[in-house]
Amino acid sequence: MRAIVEILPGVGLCVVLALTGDVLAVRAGLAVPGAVLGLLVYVLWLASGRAIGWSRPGAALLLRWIGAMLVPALVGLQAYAARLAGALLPLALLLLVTTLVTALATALCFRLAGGRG
Amino acid sequence: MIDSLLACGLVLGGFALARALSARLGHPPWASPVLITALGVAGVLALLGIAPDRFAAAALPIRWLLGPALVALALVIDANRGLLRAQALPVLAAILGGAIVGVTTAIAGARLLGLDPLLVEALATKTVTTPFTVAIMKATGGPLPLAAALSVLTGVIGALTVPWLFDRLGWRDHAARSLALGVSSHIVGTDWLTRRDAKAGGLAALAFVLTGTVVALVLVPLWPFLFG
Repeated sequence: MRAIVEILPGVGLCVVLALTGDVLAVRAGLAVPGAVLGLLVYVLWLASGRAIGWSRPGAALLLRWIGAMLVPALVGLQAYAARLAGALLPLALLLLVTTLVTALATALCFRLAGGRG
Repeated sequence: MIDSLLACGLVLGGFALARALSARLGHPPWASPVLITALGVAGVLALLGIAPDRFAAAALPIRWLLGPALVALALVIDANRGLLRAQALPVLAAILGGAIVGVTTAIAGARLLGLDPLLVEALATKTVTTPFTVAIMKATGGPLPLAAALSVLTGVIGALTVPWLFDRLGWRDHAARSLALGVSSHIVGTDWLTRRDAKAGGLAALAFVLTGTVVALVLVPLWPFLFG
């Protein structure tokens, strides 16, 4: 019971910020997910140093389960099995190579711009 | 309703088991809880003869939670405030450079390989995380479910291979590695990194949120010229 009381405010805050962001993004015709606007508000709120410690346990709980929320999308690949079957090898190679190249490019840009640490 | 309870229970229960297994093994990149759970769920669906469409509809509540969870990432970003303030320029340069390379190599590579046009469109968002993929595809009318799945798959592949590549190259630079994993492998890579090192995970989270924002703002207006 106590655990629920601890996590509810944080989960509630994240839900409200995500929903508000969605409404604003649709109204403003923005092509960014509404949740990102909510994230921005929460980052600024945390950075403002105002006591918002009550939200931490709930937000931390959502973060611990973020991986589970991605599972349905990955399982959804099954529906494309037939379409992907013919292109499996080139697709796998392309995903692998472009992901590694992207990572290398990111690290190189950081270094070239003088990043350290 | 019962469908949803069962589907969410299966995913959450499976994920808890997969995470425990991964922790027991010391969080090796190949034991990705997301991948293990997805394979397990796909296996259960196949065994029970449940159509993927029915599962997708039943699992909507858990997908929906991704929005609030994205908001919660503010915690990890906030933990990296110091580094951000000290190195804002290199961090932004890394994210911009990585995002441009990520999108252009995916589209150009897919066209060179002669892949199905629908697949080329879906690959355009492989370097942004699922919530951004959904927003971009809704705005452009691109193939949403395929793009979302490829985005998660990219994260799994990146979490498996990017740290390995950097180890081979001897690149131990913490910030560069975290940013690279965040841009290339977004949420899955960040989730994996956060379990091992919360601070590095925060930097990766910042990287994928900014990457998603930049790509969404640039790709949507360019879409008709790229795929029109």
